[in-house]
Amino acid sequence: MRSIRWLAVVPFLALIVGPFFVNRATPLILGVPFLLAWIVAWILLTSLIMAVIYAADPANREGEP
Amino acid sequence: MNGALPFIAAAALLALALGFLARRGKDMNLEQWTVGGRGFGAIFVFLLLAGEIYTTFTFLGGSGFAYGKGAPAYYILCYGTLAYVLSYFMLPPIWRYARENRLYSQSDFFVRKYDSATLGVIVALVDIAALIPYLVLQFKGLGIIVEIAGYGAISSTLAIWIGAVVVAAYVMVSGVHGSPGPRSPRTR
Repeated sequence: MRSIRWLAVVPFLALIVGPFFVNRATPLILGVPFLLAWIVAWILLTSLIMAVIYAADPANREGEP
Repeated sequence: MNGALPFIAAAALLALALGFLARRGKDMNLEQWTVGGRGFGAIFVFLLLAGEIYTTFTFLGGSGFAYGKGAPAYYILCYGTLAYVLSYFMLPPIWRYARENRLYSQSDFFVRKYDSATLGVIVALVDIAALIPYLVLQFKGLGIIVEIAGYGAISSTLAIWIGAVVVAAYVMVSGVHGSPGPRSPRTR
């Protein structure tokens, strides 16, 4: 299950490489420029991805904080 | 006297009082003072991190940058997010190593890990040198915020002195328990 850690690469691709392709103001999403909407969406998705990694990571099974 | 001053004063006093109260019920020794007995819960760490992010830069620098330059300010959102992704992999091993070796500070870590007292001294000096401009920036911003919010009733210099004394007082008394104290419920 350690390979699921590679999911953590996705936020880097989305937030560093992604803006080169979505660097535009339109279409507005909920009144927000498209690039900002993309970044905010990926912040939320990053939380989800990290939650999945945390749940699957055997390092968190030792009963330690 | 204007309407904003009581609120500014109340906020400063509340921060001071909660900072002192954070010490309550703790047998204060170096381990409690520096790393909170290594027993922070998830909520406590979350509030510490939130406090770390919301600096003067967030209030003045970030908003000014966004107002003046527009979209480039979005980088702030990206680097914060990615920094925590990296932290997930980097920080727990450091925490475990530090607990096993009973280390208290960043320079302790380098001294033990690389078995070099010189490296520890260099790290400590770099830490201090790097903190000075950061502190100057934060206090400068605090002064500006208080001066503007108080309609000039409290000068920037006076605000900085009051802020520095308040922070120094509760950190000296409560250590790391005091720093998130003003915002956090006690988790232990």
